[in-house]
Amino acid sequence: MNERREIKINVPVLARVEGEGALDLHIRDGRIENLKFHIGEPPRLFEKFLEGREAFEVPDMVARICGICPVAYQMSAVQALESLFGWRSTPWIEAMRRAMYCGEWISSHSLHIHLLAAPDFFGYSSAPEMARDYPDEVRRGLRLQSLGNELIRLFGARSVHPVGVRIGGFYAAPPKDRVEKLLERLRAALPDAENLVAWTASVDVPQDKLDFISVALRHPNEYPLYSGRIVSDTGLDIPVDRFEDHFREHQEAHSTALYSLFEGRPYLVGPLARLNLNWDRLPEPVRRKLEKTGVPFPTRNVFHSMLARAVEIHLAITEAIRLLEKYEPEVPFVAGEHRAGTGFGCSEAPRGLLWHRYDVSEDGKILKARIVPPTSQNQARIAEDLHRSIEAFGLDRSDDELRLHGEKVIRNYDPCISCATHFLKLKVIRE
Amino acid sequence: MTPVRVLGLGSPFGDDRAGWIAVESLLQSDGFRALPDGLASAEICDPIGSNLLDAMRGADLAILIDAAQSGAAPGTVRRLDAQQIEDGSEPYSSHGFGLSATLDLGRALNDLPRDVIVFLIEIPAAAKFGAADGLSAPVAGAISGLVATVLTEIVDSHGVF
Repeated sequence: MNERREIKINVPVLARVEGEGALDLHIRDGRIENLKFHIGEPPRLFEKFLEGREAFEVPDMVARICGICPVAYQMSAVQALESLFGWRSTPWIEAMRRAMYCGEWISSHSLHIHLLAAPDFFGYSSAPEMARDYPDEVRRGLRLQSLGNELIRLFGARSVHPVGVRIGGFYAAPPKDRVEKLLERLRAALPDAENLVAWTASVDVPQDKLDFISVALRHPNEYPLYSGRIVSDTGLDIPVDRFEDHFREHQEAHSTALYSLFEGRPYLVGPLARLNLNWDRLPEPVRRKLEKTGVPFPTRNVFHSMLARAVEIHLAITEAIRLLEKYEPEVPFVAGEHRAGTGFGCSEAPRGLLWHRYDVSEDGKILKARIVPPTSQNQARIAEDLHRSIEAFGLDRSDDELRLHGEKVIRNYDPCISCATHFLKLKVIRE
Repeated sequence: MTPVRVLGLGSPFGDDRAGWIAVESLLQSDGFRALPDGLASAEICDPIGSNLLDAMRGADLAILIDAAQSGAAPGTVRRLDAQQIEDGSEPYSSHGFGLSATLDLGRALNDLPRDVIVFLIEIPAAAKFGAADGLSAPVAGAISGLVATVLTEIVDSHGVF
């Protein structure tokens, strides 16, 4: 192709991602001259709202940051505050937290796969449109999402902004008969999850091998969810309280979300990064199912994210069954004294590492809060991926093709822009 | 699981509570209590999307009540057949799966009750959505009339009395 053309593509509002994101692409003489992934959502200032509040209010406040991953915010928060106060939770509390968290993974991942990402790979502009030709697949997605929501409701009374979590554990232990009913549903959903793994592996995704750094939690003997050390495939292995030594956030003019870099470089968090670093921690039946697909992990193709989400749904259902199988209600929380100081917490939200830090005063009030959500960590990676992926796709493609491919790349990361724009440093210059 | 289900949509804030308050008033009304056992249930629905489809599944008639801003006089109540609600241009996302997108998905999957009726209560353009804001006077004034209409709808649909 000798034809040189100047193309400007602007996608002002990205569909099927959460929040206000936009993409600007400027190609001149067959090269990308300028590419910007904008996050234009107004900043939400959550960390400032937390200042001066009582520590016990934190789990319910941070749950409001996100309607789809409120459990993740609650879990990172209680972990940070309990570690500061020196409260040791019981094995029962730890197991039930993990079970509740599984519900959020099932719900969030199945929604993303079936309603947001899949239409891209099957050539539909929306899920209802795809549902007319693939009703069984979309119904499966809704079934799984509903199951995940029910698991959250079991502990949190409602699936959006649940209210059951407190520092020290839960306000109440679910009754045994409800757990048993849900167990039946979880067992019955296993075939759905297994079929989903095979189905996502069979989807024809772009063959796009990229060089990127994966960062995720790693736990000594389980697939990471509620706790672990922060590791990378470049050899990082640190406790969560050392995050700030290696990861720096900075602001860029075109985005209201902070950019986060790992030792100066973009990095990936989320299902693909987790699976790349932890495939050996999958329970046996889940690992076998993944091996059967023939897709080798770790993978360098970010488009395998959809498969990674499916594997994690299979994992989450399997784990929830294991954790609830011999369920007996127990004392649902521990309590103790407040202590002044700094506490750190980190868990694996559906979209990746969610890191919290709280400075607390002697009377148990929040002095300062810092929350680093997954989407702001992925932001630099998304921009880098867009650049290379669009070049690999071919700049001589039509504008519509380029636009769709750009959107596909972004949606593949399942960015939650509302979560990411919670903080902005405001600098006012008056002349 | 009752054949008639009334679902209040909204949030706990200001006039957006209209659908929730309508459901609460309905549940407390003598007319609702006088309905035959097992005919109708009413509840505040977890936000829309798959939760709403779950809540309607298996019913013959679903009545949804929500607040709306369309420029009409505050307190105006409109009755729409779900078939009349086209999938608007609202983009849907992992969080915001709006009412029309949800109904559109339900239609595509053949997963809606035979009849779905939507009552929309017009709220003022300048409605406030603070935690401490109650319903504004025109919205509060529309609730009892709406409850009576919903009761008539339930009775007519099943030929009770």
